[in-house]
Amino acid sequence: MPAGDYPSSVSDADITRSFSDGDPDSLRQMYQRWGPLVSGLAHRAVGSSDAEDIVQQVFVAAWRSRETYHPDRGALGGWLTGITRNTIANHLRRRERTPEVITDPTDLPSHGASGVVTGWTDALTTALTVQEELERVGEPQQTILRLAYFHQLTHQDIADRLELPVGTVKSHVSRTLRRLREQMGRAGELDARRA
Amino acid sequence: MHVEPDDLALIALGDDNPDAADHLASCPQCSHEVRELSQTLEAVRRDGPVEPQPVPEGLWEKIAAEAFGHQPREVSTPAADDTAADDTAADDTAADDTTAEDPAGHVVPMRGRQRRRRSPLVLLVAAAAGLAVGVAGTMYVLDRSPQDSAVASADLEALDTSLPAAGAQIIERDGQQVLIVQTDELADADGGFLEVWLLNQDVTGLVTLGPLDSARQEFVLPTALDLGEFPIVDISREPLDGDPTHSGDSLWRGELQATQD
Repeated sequence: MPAGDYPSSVSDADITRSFSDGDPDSLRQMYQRWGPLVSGLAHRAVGSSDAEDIVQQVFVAAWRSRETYHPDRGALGGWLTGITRNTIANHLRRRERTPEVITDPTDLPSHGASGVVTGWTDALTTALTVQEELERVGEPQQTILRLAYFHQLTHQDIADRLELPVGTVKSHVSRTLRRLREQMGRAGELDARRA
Repeated sequence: MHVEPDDLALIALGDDNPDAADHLASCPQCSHEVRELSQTLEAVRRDGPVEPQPVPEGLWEKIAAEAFGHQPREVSTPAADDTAADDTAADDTAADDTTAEDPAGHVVPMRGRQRRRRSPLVLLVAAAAGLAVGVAGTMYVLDRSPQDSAVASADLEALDTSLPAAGAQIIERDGQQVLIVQTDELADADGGFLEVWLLNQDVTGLVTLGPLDSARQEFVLPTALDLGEFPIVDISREPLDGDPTHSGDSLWRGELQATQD
């Protein structure tokens, strides 16, 4: 089952509990649960050859810093996606510091032919921000958001499908859109200042 | 009276709101807000979805080895119990300065041994200055030519009980420091080769001296090498893979101590 499609929130809670208890088995469960998402983000950011390295760094870092995870600040998947964002940022920053010889100074990192991002771009920021927020809110919010944003169902359709009040659906969808706008707006400003 | 922010978001999401529509027609602030939220939604839909990628074969094993084993990828910054880690020392004098790596994977670390204080009262030959002074002599006695005088020596503890005893010595010859390594019998290289290293005290930095291919061998030390910084002799088994880093498979290890004459 692809990560993110109607995931079981009960087993996420189990994984979270055993991770907080420091049980090594939980890391394997996290890897099975979120590995494909982390891998997908890594591929978007750095392409297939370096992606594996990123994935490894993310899960090792997650284990080593497990004591910094606080469940009340958001779901485990969100925390893990945040680690992914930082790992990718460090990787790209390191790569920038040791650039290949650029003979044309106007030749800046850009999308590769396959659409793979080879530097830090708005699109990458969006992907990381959105996925982190989707994971952070847990369930049933994540499913509501995916149906609204990616599958473009009406709020009433979502409410019917998930057997929730339409007011609940609207409130999650609108609040998250505003939050995403804040985060992406800030990130865009940072990028502009950095450029 | 402006439109509620959540309602503006719902409008951006396509909700019908006739009352708000009236207001928007004449309010630049709220219209701007709806525009921004619509642009956000557009970006979310365009760039937000991420195609999950199947994880590669064998990656979990690497993660588990690194997370639960003891083979850090890079020189780790010291934790609370740090006493000395000086990362720069390794990089300054390591022969291969891009690959300083903690080799303590499979090895019994010598850190547990009590650190001997350097005695300022004993006159030390310059070459071995900085090494702790050995109080008892070493057990392993190396063959020695009469004109060579050892300034430091070490028993090399076999990290595998099947291995024979080994010892090391530093002599001064012609103004150079020379490390002599000797074992009763050379260990099997298992298709690879044996390599001799000098490690720093907390095993975070290392200098390679080269391959060991006979039971007794001499290594002329680089003149800039400070034995006080790298007092631990380590002999490892290395695969023939072109990777210059320490394999983590140490066979013998011991700390050099200045000899009193």
